[in-house]
Amino acid sequence: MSSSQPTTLLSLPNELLLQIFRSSSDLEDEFVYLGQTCRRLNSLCIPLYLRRKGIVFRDLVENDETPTSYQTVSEGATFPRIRQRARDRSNTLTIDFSTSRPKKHRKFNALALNFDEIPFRPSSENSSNLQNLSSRGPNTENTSAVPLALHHVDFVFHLPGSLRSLLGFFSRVEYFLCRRHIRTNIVTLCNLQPTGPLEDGSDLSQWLSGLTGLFDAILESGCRTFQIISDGDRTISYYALCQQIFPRSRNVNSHKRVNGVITQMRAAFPKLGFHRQRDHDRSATAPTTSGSARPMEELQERSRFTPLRSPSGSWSYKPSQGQHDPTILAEMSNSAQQACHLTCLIVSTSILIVPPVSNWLFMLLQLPTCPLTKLGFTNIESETNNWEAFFECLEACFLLREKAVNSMSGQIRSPVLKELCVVRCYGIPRGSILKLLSSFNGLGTVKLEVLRLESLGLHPPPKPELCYLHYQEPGLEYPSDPRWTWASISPSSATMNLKVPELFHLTSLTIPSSWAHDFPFQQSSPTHLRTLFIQIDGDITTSEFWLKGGGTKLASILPLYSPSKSVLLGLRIQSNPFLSDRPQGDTVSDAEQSLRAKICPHIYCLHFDGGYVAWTRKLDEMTECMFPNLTHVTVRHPFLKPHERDQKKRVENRLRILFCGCKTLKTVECEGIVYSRESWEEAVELLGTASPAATLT
Amino acid sequence: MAAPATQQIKIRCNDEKEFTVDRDVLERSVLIKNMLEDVTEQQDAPIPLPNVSGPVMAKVLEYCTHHRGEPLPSADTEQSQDETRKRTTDISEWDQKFITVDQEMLFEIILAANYLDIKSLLDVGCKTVANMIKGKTPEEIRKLFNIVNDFTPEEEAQIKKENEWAEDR
Repeated sequence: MSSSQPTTLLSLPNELLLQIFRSSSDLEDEFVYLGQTCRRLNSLCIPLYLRRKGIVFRDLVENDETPTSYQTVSEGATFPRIRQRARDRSNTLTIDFSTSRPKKHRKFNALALNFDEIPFRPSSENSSNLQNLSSRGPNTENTSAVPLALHHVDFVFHLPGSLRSLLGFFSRVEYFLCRRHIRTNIVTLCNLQPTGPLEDGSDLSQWLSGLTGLFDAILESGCRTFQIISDGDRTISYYALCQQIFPRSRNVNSHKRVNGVITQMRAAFPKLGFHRQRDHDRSATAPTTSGSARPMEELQERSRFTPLRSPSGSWSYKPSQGQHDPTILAEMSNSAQQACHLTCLIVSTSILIVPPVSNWLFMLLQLPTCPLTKLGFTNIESETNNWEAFFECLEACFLLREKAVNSMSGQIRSPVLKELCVVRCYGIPRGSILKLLSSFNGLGTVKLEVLRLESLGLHPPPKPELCYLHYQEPGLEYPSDPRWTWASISPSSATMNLKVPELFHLTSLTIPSSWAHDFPFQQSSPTHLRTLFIQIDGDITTSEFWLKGGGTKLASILPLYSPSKSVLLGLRIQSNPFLSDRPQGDTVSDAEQSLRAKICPHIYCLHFDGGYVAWTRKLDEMTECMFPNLTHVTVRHPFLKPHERDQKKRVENRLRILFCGCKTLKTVECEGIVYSRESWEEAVELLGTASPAATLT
Repeated sequence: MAAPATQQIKIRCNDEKEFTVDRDVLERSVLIKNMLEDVTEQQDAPIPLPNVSGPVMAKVLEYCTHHRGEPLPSADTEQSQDETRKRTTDISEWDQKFITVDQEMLFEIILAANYLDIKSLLDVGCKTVANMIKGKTPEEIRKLFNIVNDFTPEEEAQIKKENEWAEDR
């Protein structure tokens, strides 16, 4: 707190501003008004407003690889000395961890380096703090300040100043990662663009070249997911940024597990439009793929994708304010080319699917060598007819790619799209999705193996409907194909209008526990259903779960299904990775005991999504004490790598404890590897006796 | 029955101003509480609080003294932001009077409460600011908090356009 300048609202760091705005449920339209006052409040309040309206920005993707919640990640920095150090740097290096429940002796494993508030200068205190943090080697004292493996690292930048100061800053971060040999899992870079012209007049290319070391350091740290959250309208720098990152992810992809680049392009493209252009201008924009001749014309013939409702003709990119900028066009085309080795792309454009985004994507998808296996759209809202056109274009892209592949020699491996992920997108007509599926069938070499849909339907969703589905085999025809095998259904309200015949051939189904009253199979069950998972939230080992909702819901679902003995009941647990111990004094009451006795014997499967602590500690509690008939356990977590040597021992120890502690347990599946009791027992016989008192880590 | 004598702790602010305070009062601050737990031996040296000035600390101590002995909020209640949001206006009468200060002091108190990790005081500060914002137009908010409009005309037009979308909903 500086005494020279008075403290004002804008002196507060973002975390406190957010806390103020969140502290009142009465504020709603005020968020919009706050967003109109200045840039900084705009960037804070508009997402907050939209979040209240049900549109979420920052937890972009809900998949198995990305534990999304910041609260989840930020919990853990509670070791007093760490907190103190963090606080001591409160104006320089904000290590922002909100939870204050002290859990001594636990190191935090997430780090947010928030430089959002402070202009960074090489000579400043900020710089030396970062340097101090980096220079604590493994053999010196205080090594617990930053652990060597960080689950989630956020760099939030605020970068005015000269090129020299920026590069100084980047090299410090790079040094910080490399010097300590930090391993990372998810790295997020926010606001990685200069907030204004560089003071010394350096150009963008110099700035970008300064990022090289930073990107390499991040990728070398082993990150699985590299997120760039890039707000604002600095379109050119966005594309240029892509060009810097994509080639590096390609270089590293083969041996460093960089699964993809997640981009959030909120409002990144407001200055680009989609305009009609004369034929002779077209060459500047067409992708240079040899196999797909004149793709835009073909797209246009097929698609009717006309956001500006222009008459038919050829289409191209052009800045909407009347300035034709070939640099942008070339960069877009180049970035599509550069990105053509990505295996995963998830696009999140907040409100509208804007033509530059979609067309950049179309360019990419047409490339015959594009190896995308996962394509996702999140948090997008648009008009129904836009979506229809968009999906038609998507379909056309695959058709074009198919043609291109066929026209080329057999040396090119055909791309296979394995997963299409549509999460929290509004306005999509269901018919479009179904049509797209049928197109995939027709395309032959483009196989749709998994489809995940959530919250389909108009906005607001008119009624809950089947909205979350997984395919497991290619070439399936919705909805009557008997090879549908897996479905998870997430209703958006308590009532559910599910067409049972559509699910008649399912073998596995997940439903939320809120479905107590509208259980879909009261009249008839799917013939092939073998496992019914009930998805639960909360910590099942606490009395809070059993006595405040979760247990009661399970109890009401159970009798509905108990007549069908052929179906195994399971619990799918979306675990908080930092599940804590049962609070002291939280004893098992009679009521809880009776609920448990009613439910637990019927549970045969447990499925954990995330939850490292759950894997190492909670699981014992559940398998040994709670579920007397448990036969199968599945654990998925990005930190679990049973193939790797240092974790193999850990997994073996855990198996020993599980199989010894729970006599009914037959199989344990860990990150896709299935361990059976038989093979484990054989191994034990070979190696000698196994004691459950293993050395746990 | 006579109350047991409480330990006296010295603290020193960034303007060198020192306070000697009962330990249970200071332990309203989770930061200081943790620091005291970490210190095993009796120490006479004052605890340095480099981010808090004397006048602000005096206000904070006034709050802590008034609320001494009250149970600290548990971690569960902290985690439930929704719950916190619902309790919009429940600032007690004493707290309301306490927090009736000029803007600069208000924000200093918020910063100090955050630094010292005094959840209840931070809540009171945040809610007070939220109440000040409530019902105000952008121009009124700018005037109230002395915010400089740093949008370009194009950006302002863009934002207005975006907000039309928001208001249509």
